[in-house]
Amino acid sequence: MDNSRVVVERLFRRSAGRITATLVRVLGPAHLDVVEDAVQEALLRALNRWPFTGVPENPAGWLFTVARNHVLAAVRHDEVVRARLPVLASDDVAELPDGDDELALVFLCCHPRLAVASQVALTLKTVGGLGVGEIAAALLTTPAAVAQRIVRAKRVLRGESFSDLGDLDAVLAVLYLLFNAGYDAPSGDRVVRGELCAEAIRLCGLLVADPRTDRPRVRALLGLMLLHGGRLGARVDDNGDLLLLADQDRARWDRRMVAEGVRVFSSACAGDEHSPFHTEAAIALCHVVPETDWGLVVRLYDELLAVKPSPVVALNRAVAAAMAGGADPDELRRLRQDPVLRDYHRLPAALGALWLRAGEPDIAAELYSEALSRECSAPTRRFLLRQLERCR
Amino acid sequence: MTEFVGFLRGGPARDLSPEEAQQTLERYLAWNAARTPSPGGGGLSRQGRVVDGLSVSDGPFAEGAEVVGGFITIEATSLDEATKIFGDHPHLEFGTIEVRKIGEKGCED
Repeated sequence: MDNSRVVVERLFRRSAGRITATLVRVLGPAHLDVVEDAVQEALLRALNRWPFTGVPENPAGWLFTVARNHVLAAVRHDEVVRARLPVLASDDVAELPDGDDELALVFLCCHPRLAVASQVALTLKTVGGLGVGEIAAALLTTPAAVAQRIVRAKRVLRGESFSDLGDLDAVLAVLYLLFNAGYDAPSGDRVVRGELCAEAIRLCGLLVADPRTDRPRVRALLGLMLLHGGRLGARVDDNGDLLLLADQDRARWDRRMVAEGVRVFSSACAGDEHSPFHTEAAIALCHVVPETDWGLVVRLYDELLAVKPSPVVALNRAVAAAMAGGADPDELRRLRQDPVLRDYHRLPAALGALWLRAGEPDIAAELYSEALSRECSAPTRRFLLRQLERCR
Repeated sequence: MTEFVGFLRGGPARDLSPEEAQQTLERYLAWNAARTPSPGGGGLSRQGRVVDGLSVSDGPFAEGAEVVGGFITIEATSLDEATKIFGDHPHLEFGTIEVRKIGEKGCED
């Protein structure tokens, strides 16, 4: 057998999303289940055949053809659907089309009738090609909960149409969450989380590439994600332990991604549209220049707080203010009492760092202990233990 | 050197995510690639016909775990060595491999 050909990285995941998009366009959202079944069947058949036959010359086309034939067989008794099928049955080994269908599928998954959590889960499943277990790990919930959300979401979408690009801001919000879930999750598999960031960046790139959705705020979001994403590798050391900003090795940045982020963000500032994403990207930009201007960061956080008030932003502002000159103890006490922040996993650790800077190691130690009492990943735990040592 | 065939029964389940499915596939392919000479083999359709002389019926009606999904041929000096070679095949995580010697002079033991 021919062993020479290997499978390109993420072929199955990427193909799953693209095949789903193409078939859902033809069959309509009501048949999402049939389509997903067909995609699963195609992957499984490849898995059962390619080890013996070798990888076919056009693996993506092979998968698409198998999935398409499976769909044709599944709907052969459905007159209405069959009427649409000439589009599918045209050629034998089909080339997999890309771009437009995928974008339309993103919009469908981010349909305003769905709750945000469902939008995120459905996007990851159908567009991103992630498994229920992987989504659950990334979103810190159970596979059963994810599966249930997806089933309900598909039911809601049954009557919707596929072709229209819907609510752009809903899509942006989902991509933003997706990226943050990858970037900022308190626990979970690091590789899966890297995938989430990459997927959010890829989908945002699709939006920028399409004239219908290329808006300055979309570019600002892409710039923001690239600027953060480029620094992802430096956030942890060789053991996977979290590092403080000051201890991060800039040599480990993905320079090309950071440069691309700067370029995309600059282009986002060309028009007169200004969005919270612009402000956040500007803050991210402050962190990639050689000397961070913390005063500027504080002002940008103030700006962000004015348009998008959130305790997490307030906490970040407090961190920046501490770096700029000194934390305000009253502000720190107030943040600790904030009801919204109470469950925010980073709160005690962040406040601990600020009190430590403010010359109050006892209060800091108490906060780090509190952080340790919560559920967190092994690297985070080691990081907190190291910080606790510093307090003594 | 003698040729041996391994019949792979059962197989990966449906609930693999695309990425898990691909990683599994890559492990199967890597097992092939690591062998010299390159193993032979082929996939088999899940369904076929059973001919018993008097009648022809659809089949085999084996349980999922007993269906032969494919076969791989390798070279080895003995059944023991062949068993050892198949012993680290990634398929064993999902099913079984039945190892048989390919007879050189018709039916051998």
